[in-house]
Amino acid sequence: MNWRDYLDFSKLPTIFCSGCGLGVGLRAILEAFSEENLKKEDLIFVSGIGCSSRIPGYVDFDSLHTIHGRAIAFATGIKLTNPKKHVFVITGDGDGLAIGGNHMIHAARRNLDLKVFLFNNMIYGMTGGQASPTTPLEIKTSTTPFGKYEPNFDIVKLLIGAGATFVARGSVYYFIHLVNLIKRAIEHKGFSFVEILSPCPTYYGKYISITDPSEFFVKQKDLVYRLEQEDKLSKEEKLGKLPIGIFVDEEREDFESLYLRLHGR
Amino acid sequence: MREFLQGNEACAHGAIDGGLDFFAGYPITPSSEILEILSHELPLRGKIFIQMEDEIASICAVVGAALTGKRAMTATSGPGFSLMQEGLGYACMSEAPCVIVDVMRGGPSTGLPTNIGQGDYMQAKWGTHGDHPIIVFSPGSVEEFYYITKNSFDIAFYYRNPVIILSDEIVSHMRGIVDKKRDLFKVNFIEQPKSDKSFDFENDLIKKPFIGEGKKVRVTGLYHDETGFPTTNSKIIEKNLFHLMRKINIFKEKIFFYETNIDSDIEIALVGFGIMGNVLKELERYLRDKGLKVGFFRPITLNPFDEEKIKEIFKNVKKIFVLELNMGQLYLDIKRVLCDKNVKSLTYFKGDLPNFEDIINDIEVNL
Repeated sequence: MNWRDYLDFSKLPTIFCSGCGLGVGLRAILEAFSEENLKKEDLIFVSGIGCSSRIPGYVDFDSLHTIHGRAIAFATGIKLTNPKKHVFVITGDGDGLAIGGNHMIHAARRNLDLKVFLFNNMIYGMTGGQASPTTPLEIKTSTTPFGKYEPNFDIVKLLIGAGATFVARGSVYYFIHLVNLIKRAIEHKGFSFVEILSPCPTYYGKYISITDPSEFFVKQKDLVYRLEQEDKLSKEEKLGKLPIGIFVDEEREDFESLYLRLHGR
Repeated sequence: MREFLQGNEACAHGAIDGGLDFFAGYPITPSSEILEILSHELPLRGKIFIQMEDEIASICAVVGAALTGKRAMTATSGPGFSLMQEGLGYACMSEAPCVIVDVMRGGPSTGLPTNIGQGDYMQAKWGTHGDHPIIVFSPGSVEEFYYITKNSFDIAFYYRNPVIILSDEIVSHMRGIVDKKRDLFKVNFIEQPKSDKSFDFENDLIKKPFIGEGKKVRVTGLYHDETGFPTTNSKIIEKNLFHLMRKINIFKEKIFFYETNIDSDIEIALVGFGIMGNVLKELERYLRDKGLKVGFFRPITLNPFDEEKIKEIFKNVKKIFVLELNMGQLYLDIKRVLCDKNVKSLTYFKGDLPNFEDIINDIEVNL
């Protein structure tokens, strides 16, 4: 099946701004579905609230757009009672890590077979550009007019610490690399987490004075380096950049298998 | 088969006999026995039990399972019930058929974890934000708790709406005989046709498809059209809300459960719900022996409130006493419906049932 077959064209165009990375991210997910030959009737998208959480409205299979921060909890109920379905959580940095942070770490700990794709644009877009837990230090936003005085989460370290068995980071700029990460996440049995770096020119761009969508998109390239180059690059070369790649991919008995084994079934 | 069960135990048995597929919960007194019993019983039956990280996660997991057509339930008490309100609103908006048990303790806040209160009456009916449809039952005995729980799933699925079961610390912790061969609170509904649309705002009770059935069901907590896609179109918004509010009033007489002995001779009526409903019967007998023409009315369904039925029952009654273990919540509903009647609120809030003599005294001085 072509990636287009997973999309509900009757609901387009999307509500996303020009230069937003969410459309590219969705395309990457659907390309991965296509390459993995996933059937539409086996797929369920679950999201919370925020720009990225509006993605499920545009797909041509079952989807839930739930309440702020709780997508993972809804997905837990769905996956446990429908173990044969592929359940995907689409979330953002505010939805998944601020209000939904508690559910995120517990889902990682449980190792339930959920695939979580977190779009990190480092800001609250839907509500007008407020600081999120991933907004970098000293960045000005509509709620940090003097610059942000709280450090940001390193999402990858957080998820590894919580016990996630698959943790990766990609960027919408490196599209093919991202598709491959998503494919690996789908193939992994257990809790899989992919952070997807995605630009928000409308708000984040405004605060760092890059409002041209294409200019901001190209800027994404300078924000990352390949994890494989971790040892080859100097400290200076890595300054202010995030590694992209697969950080953890380990086998551990998932929730469902443990549940069945301990109850003798 | 007659069994001697604790209230919460009866609830857990009722849920299993009602076909429970999925339970998600979080420990909280005085509801924890339901969680504990189901943690043992559900896995043995090949069903799913999960202890979530909090009550918010619990209700969300339950609503998620319910939207795939599974019989799902959670149980909590006041503080947890407060946390569940947003998820409950989502269940109303997404038309998720789930069951939420709230075992009332004294509130507000942490309040009285191990003692009784009946202060969640209003919250159960009006707790989540925005106008919303809700079905609320309040059992007055262990056996009622069993049957209400057992049959709530059918009712939730028929209306595609959450059902709240409002128990209290005493009903949940007292023991009583449950005869599982009886046929209480079983509703014979008219079978509805099936639909393939995610939502239908014209045919309020049509059987809508669930997620996972291959019908491309789209669900959102935003106002939406019949494809489940968000909308701000004022005509569709109106249709969406009117449909939600209308549907639980269809056949409401079938789910308006109550017990009363009020007939045309009765002049004084005692009204109460939950454990206070049980107490009324004792009070009534005592006052009758004193020569007063006393009857009682015990609503088991707290929402939808069948106002016409209540007006009819109380037609000839001159004086009404509403007895509650709060500051007067059921009273506000009774007074609203029977606004031309002499309604007196008798409230007792001290973490326990009031003394029999105190209630009798309060009634006598107010006659």
